[in-house]
Amino acid sequence: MMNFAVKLSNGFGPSGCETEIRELIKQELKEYNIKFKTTFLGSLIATKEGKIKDQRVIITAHTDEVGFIISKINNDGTLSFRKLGGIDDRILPSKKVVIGRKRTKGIIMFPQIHLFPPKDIVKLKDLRIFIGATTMEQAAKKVTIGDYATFATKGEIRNGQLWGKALDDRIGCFVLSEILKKNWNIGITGIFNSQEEVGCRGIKSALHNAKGTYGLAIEGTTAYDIDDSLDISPSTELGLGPAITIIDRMSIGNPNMIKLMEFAAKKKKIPFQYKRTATGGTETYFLLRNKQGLPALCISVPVRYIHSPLGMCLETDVKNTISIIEQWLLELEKKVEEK
Amino acid sequence: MNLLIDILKTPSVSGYESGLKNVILDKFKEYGLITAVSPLGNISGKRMGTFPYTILIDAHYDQIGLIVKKIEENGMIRAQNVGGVDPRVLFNLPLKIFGNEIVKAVVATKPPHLQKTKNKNKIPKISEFLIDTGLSKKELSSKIRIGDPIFFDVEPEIMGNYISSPAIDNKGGLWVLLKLAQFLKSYKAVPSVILRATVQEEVGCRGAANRVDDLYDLAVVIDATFATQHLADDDHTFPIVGGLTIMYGPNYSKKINEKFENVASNNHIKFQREVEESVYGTNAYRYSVSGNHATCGISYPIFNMHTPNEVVAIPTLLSIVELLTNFIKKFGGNK
Repeated sequence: MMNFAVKLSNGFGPSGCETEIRELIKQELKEYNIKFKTTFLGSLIATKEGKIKDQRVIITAHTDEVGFIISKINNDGTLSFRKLGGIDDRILPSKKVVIGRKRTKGIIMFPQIHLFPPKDIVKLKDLRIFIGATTMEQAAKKVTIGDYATFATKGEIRNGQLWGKALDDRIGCFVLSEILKKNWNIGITGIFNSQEEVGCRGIKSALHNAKGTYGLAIEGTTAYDIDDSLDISPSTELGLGPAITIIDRMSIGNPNMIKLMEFAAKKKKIPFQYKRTATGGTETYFLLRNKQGLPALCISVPVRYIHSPLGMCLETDVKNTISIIEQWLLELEKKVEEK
Repeated sequence: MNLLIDILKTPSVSGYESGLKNVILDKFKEYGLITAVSPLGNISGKRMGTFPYTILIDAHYDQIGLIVKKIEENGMIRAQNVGGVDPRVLFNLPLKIFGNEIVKAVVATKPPHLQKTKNKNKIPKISEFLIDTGLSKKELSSKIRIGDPIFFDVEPEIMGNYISSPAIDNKGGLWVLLKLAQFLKSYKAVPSVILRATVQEEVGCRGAANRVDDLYDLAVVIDATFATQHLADDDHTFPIVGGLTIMYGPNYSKKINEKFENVASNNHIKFQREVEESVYGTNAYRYSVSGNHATCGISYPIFNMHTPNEVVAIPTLLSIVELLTNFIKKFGGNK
């Protein structure tokens, strides 16, 4: 079951270049009676009809990941680049990347310790990617300015853990895909958004193309549960189940929807936790404040080391996230039918 | 090429070289060399000649890495460096711990969302990093112990004429040595040749100080040197496309260097001169003072030295093989 999650994690999809991820999802969901539509900004809208005609849940997850865009080919054949999304510059030196349509392999170079004193921190503008070319002409055969790039990481499952890149938010895409595979009385519109990491841009345009009455955003969120000398709290912890966001920097979850989620969890004895930091923002903000303003909330899978080449989440947390959403949908259907 | 990838993938952190030792020993034996292993782990393969002149060719086969220093209550591991590991390349780096079994891990990094501004430019000490295996202390207890070696879990990557990998320094040199062993198999040698793979260079050229071999007349040390790259382009770096370097300085014999340069010119082998004024850079300093013989150094420029992705031009490595085989042939003998 988790194989598709690994496939999604391995997919190429820096913000602004999510085609491969969209295709993976369409392929996976093609036999499930779903209507697809792609927006100009690259969000994939997956509509599934239910018996209940006038009510519909919009569930979002984003397909993009933090990555890079090539900004210059230098005389020595190396490439300069800019970041897409929030990446700690310190993780970049000596990482492998994959670039552009040809999926060219590259290495972020780092001068040797002997010649570059340890107190110096390399700046983004001084980082270069080596692709096996030593002249501008050689490099131009493999890449072009404007090519997108991401970390070259091959994901895997081991010890019940999913290790890989881009779990923020391919793990959300995986959960949403699993939800869409099942049949529901209430209509479901799944939006696999583009460009979340560069300012939730995909959802802003996608919501012009989708109508709903309730909203849910699925995320892969920060879990730094490994150190007790913390800057701030660990945010979430692995193994405690999906995390409900009550408040973050951009939004406050709808209290009734949160109550319904807690009720669903307790009824089925599904473990859950609350996200304990109010940093960062999610697509929930746009669900809450778009034209109609939907009652919406955010639920997340705790992930260690998001926004880096290698992160990790637990299979059990992922499965519990699917279960809690399924039960929430059942409770929501009941509530709607009672009305 | 497969042999190069094999030795790159076989870990050999300084002091923990035994896994690679047998690979080298088997190759030396396969090519009919007379082998000897020193207590520290140096491996010699000798080809007897008919002429009273002996050439020793040295390449160290250890690599930089880490060792397990402490296992915290929550299963996080703290490590100590072996050799010159730069903490600036450790962030979120995949690792392999070689205990009772191989345990994969990653260096933990705090996502930007949770960082305090004042810590954003801080580079921690190596012992301050936490290494995450995803396993608890209890689960780890049967798998790894304090003192187990840790390697960078980064696969070699061929990029046209170039290959990237951890430990190109000095498995590139070791590959040259194994290629020379292959050459010696079919060469009726005039001078005697000793190929010597040495240990513990990265922690102070200790292996090369451990002398068990016969006497020799010339010692040639093969090692990696700095390729010119952005932020590292002073007079001590060499273009990666410029070919091998011939070392000059107090350690090295000007007379033999002249011969090397003649052989290179006659065979259209690209070379550049490298000055090493500090005598402690490579194993050459051990040889130059360990007996009454000449010492030379041949190096190959690499990018990103001492990072998990060192890069070498494969043609440069092959040109060192060509230079040394032609140098040996010049003494006479047949093929």
